[in-house]
Amino acid sequence: MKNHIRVLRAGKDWSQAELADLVRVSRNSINAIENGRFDPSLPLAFRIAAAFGLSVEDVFDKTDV
Amino acid sequence: MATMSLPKIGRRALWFSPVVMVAAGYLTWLYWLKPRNATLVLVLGAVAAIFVMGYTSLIARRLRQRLDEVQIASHEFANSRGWTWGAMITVVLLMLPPVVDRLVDLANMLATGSRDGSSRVSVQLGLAFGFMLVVLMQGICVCVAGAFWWRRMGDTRERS
Repeated sequence: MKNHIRVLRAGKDWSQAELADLVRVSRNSINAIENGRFDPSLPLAFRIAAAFGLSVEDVFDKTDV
Repeated sequence: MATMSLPKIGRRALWFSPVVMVAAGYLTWLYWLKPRNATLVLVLGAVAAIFVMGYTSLIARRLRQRLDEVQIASHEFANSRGWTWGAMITVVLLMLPPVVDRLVDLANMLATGSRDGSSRVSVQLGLAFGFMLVVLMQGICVCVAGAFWWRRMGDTRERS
């Protein structure tokens, strides 16, 4: 599933590790999700979206689903 | 690649220390106890093996509770593929005459002191070596499958 995590992260000037700490996963996991290689569960998707202060639809691209 | 801090490594070492202590204690006592009481050696061996298996599964369960969903998926992938690949590689290895010859020679050497001599103990050792080979191959394949999973998950270096 495509997403805008890299762009949003750059906007906030966060590293992958910082985002990983915020959503309580490993940096490698953020990397896998960011590259679209792994689709996160709904709770994790909500946590990521909440970290950016956005809705899930604003972070993840539903055209891929 | 994820890095571990020193206190974390220390905590993990502390968790694993009972396994090492029991195994080392059993092996140390084995030499002293074996000529005196063979039954006690068998009983202690069984107790030590059950403790090590039980304790390691407890640690594995605790470690798993701390993993996130991507890491859990990685472990599931590595275990399912690794166990199958390991068993298949063992079958292939045991079809190669040089490998079988070396295992038989090793079992005979340890049991009778000669590569050509054979006894009941060498057959038991041969079975044990076969089992160890399966476990070893599965362990190696689980690591390889885990590395393959993370490679497939993309470049692990951070891009901003």
